[in-house]
Amino acid sequence: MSGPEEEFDDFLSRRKPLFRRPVDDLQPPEEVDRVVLRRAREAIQLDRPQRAFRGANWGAPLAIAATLLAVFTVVLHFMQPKQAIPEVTVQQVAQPVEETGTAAAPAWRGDSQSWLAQIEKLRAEGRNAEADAELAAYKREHRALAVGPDR
Amino acid sequence: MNAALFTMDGVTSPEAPARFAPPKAARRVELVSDDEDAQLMLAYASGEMRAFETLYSRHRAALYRYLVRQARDGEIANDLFQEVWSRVIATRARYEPRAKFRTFLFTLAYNCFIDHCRRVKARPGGLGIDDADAADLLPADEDGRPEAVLQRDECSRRYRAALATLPPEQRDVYLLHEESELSLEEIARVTGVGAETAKSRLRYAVGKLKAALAATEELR
Repeated sequence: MSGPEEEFDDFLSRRKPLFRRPVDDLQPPEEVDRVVLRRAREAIQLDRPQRAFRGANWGAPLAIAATLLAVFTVVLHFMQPKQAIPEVTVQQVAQPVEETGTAAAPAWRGDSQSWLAQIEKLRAEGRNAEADAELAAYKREHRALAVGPDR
Repeated sequence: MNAALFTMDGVTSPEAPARFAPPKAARRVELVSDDEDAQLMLAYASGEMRAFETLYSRHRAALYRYLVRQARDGEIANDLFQEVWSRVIATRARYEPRAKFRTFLFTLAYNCFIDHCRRVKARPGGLGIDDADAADLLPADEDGRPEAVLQRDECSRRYRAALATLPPEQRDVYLLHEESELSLEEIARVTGVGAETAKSRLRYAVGKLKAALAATEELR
């Protein structure tokens, strides 16, 4: 014979029910299941390190500096005033050449007699090339003379 | 309690040892060695979603029954159910299996329900869920016979009516015993009382339920 104490011990150890209770199979709605599982999934996804691309720390400042430098260079290039290129005339070029030629002229070119005497002297010394060059110069200087002194 | 010093590197789940990757950091914790649920919770904390799915499928029905019986309102039970699991999810990183996972889960459920009662400044009284709501919550009868459905609904109604007559402390202990299948010591821990107090409350609750259900049987 079992007393109330033994009945309660049986109940505690789930060996014997003390009364009839409904056998219902309550379940959470599917929507609630979805919400809970989605929250659980999102939570561990947030735990994972984000694999988004990240450049080096110095990349951004370097890129900004390079861009500024390029912009500054281009702006300076276009803002610089263009210098007009002077026209070079034949006279401007010829004048220094002639000035150089007269400056280097020896003293015996000062008058015709001395110049011709020098030419004769060079021929006498056998320095015909130099004599010819002096004669050509003499002819250029004295274009009025049609014929050289050796003719 | 069957506790053992436990190193995380040594965790092997008897159910699926290869499926769950070992947690990243080795933590030394006091683990209830035979609690697979605790290992599943640790696996989830280390990022294994399948572990959570297994854990959830094991406890969802019991937890839901407990909350429906306590709240006596389907909508409130749904909200509390989601809140409990949200707390489980939120505490995953600092979870340490010092007790069975089931105890941990029902402690959260008990606290959520008490918090809810404080918010509404009252514990639910009366029968709560009416017969129409109860019929919605219950699964369809397999054979679909009207008399079987009626009998089931009547039994459920009388049981809920008897439960409603219990003082809140006795109902807490009884529902934790019935729905969570925790031991008396674990129920005492969840409700924050001594084991003898829990046992006494359960004894009174069972006696009252037995008397109330017997009386309604006689009236029929």
